[in-house]
Amino acid sequence: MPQNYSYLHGPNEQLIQKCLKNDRAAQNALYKLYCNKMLGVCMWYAKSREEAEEILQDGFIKVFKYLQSYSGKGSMEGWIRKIMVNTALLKYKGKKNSNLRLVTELDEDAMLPAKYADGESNLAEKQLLELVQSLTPVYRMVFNLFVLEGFKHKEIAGLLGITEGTSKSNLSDARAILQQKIIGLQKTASI
Amino acid sequence: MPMNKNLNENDELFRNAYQQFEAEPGPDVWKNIQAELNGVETVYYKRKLKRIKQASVIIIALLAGLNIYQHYYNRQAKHAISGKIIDNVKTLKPTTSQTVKSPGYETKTPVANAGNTNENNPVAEQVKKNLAEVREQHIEPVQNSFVMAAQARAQVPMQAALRNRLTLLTEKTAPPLSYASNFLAGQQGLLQPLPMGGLGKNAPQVTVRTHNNPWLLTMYASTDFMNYNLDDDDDDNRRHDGKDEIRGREHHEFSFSAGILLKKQINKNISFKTGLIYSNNAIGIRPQTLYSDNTLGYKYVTSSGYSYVKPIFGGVPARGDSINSNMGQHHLQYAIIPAMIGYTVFANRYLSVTPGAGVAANILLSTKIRTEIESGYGGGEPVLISKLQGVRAVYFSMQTNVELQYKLGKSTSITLLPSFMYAINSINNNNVVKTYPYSFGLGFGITRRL
Repeated sequence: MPQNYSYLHGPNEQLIQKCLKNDRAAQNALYKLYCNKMLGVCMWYAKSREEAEEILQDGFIKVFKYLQSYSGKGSMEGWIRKIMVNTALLKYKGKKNSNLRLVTELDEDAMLPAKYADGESNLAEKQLLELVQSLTPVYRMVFNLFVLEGFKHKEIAGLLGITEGTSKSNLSDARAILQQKIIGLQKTASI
Repeated sequence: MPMNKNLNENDELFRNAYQQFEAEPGPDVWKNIQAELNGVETVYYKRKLKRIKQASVIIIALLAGLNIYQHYYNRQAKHAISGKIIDNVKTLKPTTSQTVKSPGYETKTPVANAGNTNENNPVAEQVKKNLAEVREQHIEPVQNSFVMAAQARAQVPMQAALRNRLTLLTEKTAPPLSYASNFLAGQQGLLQPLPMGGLGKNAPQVTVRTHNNPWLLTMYASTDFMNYNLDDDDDDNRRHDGKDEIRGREHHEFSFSAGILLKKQINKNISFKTGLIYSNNAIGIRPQTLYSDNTLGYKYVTSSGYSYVKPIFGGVPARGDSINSNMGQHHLQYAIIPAMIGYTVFANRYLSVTPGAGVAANILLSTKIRTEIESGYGGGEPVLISKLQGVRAVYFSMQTNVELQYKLGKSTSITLLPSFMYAINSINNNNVVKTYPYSFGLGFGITRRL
């Protein structure tokens, strides 16, 4: 099931109205309100911070461009998050035919990056993020959409233009890779 | 199973990390967004400005054309009148009365004294000479007139010179010259009737009646009752997105227009009218099922044009996939430039009735549709369609109206403006239907003399 973002609080109506009038200061305020959280979202879908910032930038331009279509029914953060994820998907689709690695290709770097070993038993958020970032783009997308966003395989297949079976298979592979990496990280940490 | 348990635990671990993780973007991100937004706005305003420029050029061309026409017409009439006067002076045939019409004035010629001849009438000789002079210098200030030498040396404007000349001529006796002077006075907008009673014992009373022809500016707003005729080439109108289905799901809502009309009186009855009108047509669209005919999205068809919509989290639709939309609101905005001819059928001191007819260019400013479609999350997702395909940038319409003006003061009137328009060509060129809108409007405005 899709995640429920209703717990998130939105900006006040006045700020949105000012943004609709292209008030730069208000737009900047809205940006500042959400940029940290949204960059956090984008980074799960990007390979690097630079790529995540590109997605964030494109996403916020869409937010301001289509702000008038925001009905105010759901939370503003949920709406912006949808746009960010959609922007990431579009970016992924744009790159699909250029530098996308093969689905079956295993990442040699996936095993136990020593730099994450900080001696703590619990893996930090950043470490988990970098594990996901180390996945191939299609694995990352399928994993994020299924685990983080709560989509079903049928929906993921539609979003990424793959079959439902491929989506399931990719998720299984991604999970296996991540589990191996987590075990490796935990081993390193315990040494 | 332990493996599945681990997977689920890991999923939860990642989910928690995803919801907690935040990172601060670099300062360049906002700068880039700002630059991009400025670029977007520039494009938006440029597009709007281009339309306004086009509309302005058309109006200026119409007004310039009218002025050139009037200038040419006036010159022709002026020469004709001057020539006629000289001929009359030459022959000095007894005449009763002649009425000469040209834009902006109507003048009755004085009656020449019967029995006079060129040879034995020194006044007529003098008049002939003066008239030739006036004809040569009818636009520039009268500098060489024998009666206005002093003023001419002081660069007195033509109107003042003419007024002085008229005064002088009233005191003397020169009916034909007075006629010419009156003509020029009419050209210059001197509206006073000029009694010529003192021109000798038998000189006839000359009545000069002039109509100044100023621009009249009407600012008005109108409620429009819109509707349309739909046409398609398909006999099976029960098909999806056929004209009957489109007509069934669309209903016209409150529409209005507002703008300025400029009217120029060409002669006593006929006037030319143009202007710039903003029109907003609103159409409500009932919920419908949208179908996909390609991978762009689900086709949203209206009587004006079509577009493709796709929920943010919707997958790429296959041909034949469908999705439901909720109620929609469709707005079409046009800039209208009319070119109309009016004919005053009734006019008294307070009231005038001027029916008019003509054509108008309807320049598309924007098309917008707001609706909701099924979201990937199962709820309604707001959709704003800001560009429809298949809509013409310009279409032409026939315009008729009846201008009812009630005079409030010397230069102000209130105007009631019932109107009707019908599209000459369809507003779309690549849609499943061809749409010919028509509307009845009831406008109210204020007219000022410029």
